[in-house]
Amino acid sequence: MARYPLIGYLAWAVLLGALFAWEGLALARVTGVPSLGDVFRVITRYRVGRWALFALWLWTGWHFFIRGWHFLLRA
Amino acid sequence: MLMAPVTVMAASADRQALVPMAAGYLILMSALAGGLYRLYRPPATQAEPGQPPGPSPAGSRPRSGWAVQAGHVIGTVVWGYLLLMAVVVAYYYGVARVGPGFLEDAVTGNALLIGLAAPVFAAASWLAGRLRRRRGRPAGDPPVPGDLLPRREAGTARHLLIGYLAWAVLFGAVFAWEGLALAQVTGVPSLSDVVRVIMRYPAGRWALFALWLWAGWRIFVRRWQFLLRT
Repeated sequence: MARYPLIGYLAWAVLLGALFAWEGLALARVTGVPSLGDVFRVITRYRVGRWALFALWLWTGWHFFIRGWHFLLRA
Repeated sequence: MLMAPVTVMAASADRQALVPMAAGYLILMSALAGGLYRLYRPPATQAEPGQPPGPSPAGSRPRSGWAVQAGHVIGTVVWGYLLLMAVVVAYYYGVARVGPGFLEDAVTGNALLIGLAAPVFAAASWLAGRLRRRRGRPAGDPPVPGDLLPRREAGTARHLLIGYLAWAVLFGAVFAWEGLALAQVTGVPSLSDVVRVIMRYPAGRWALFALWLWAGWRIFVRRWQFLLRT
């Protein structure tokens, strides 16, 4: 049973679609549009940016795929 | 096998997750602002065209060799992991004690993820190098560790500043919508709810996991030819 109205999920689809569309424009070499890779390259110019981005990436993996899974801790 | 997301989270914990989420957004945007400032500052302080970029912003000297590359990757992994653990510990003791086993889960779960990702990244780099060589391109890239150093100083600056700002706004919209969800606004699902819908099916789980692995390799490791160097 759905916990939320469909419009809430559609809003997420629109937001993520906008991200992909902007990336598509960049990959199509539309003038002045940087790709997500360019943005990450700017962020990772500094060590702190690299560490923060890596921490965020790691956190997403832990939050979505691992969290709550305690096999290493089970007796 | 890998996935068993927490299905029930307390509303208060959701609201308290607003703090680290907002902090994460601010840290990333600060790093982006710093990088853009360096990119767009007056040309007198930048390297001449055709000249190799100067020392990295962190002050490291330009060196070559797989040991340097390995050092950069390992440094990113270790310090990124420690940064995440610091945030997790601060969140647990300073914001919300979300439950027993949370800290142990964070320490071992994230270490496990790194252990899982490392061989995949190595294999992907090896495969990418082979494909590149088969197409007649040199297997090794510049003597700096690929995406871990600013190797496209001029190429990156060719974009308009407004293009980067558009990315910041788009990510801001994503974080804002997630913030509304964490604030328990009626009818707004969180990103975790969306992911949970996708992960109801094994194909969705594995596709998302593959996407996550690819993103990590693409951002942090791609063009890292350490395993191919002689």
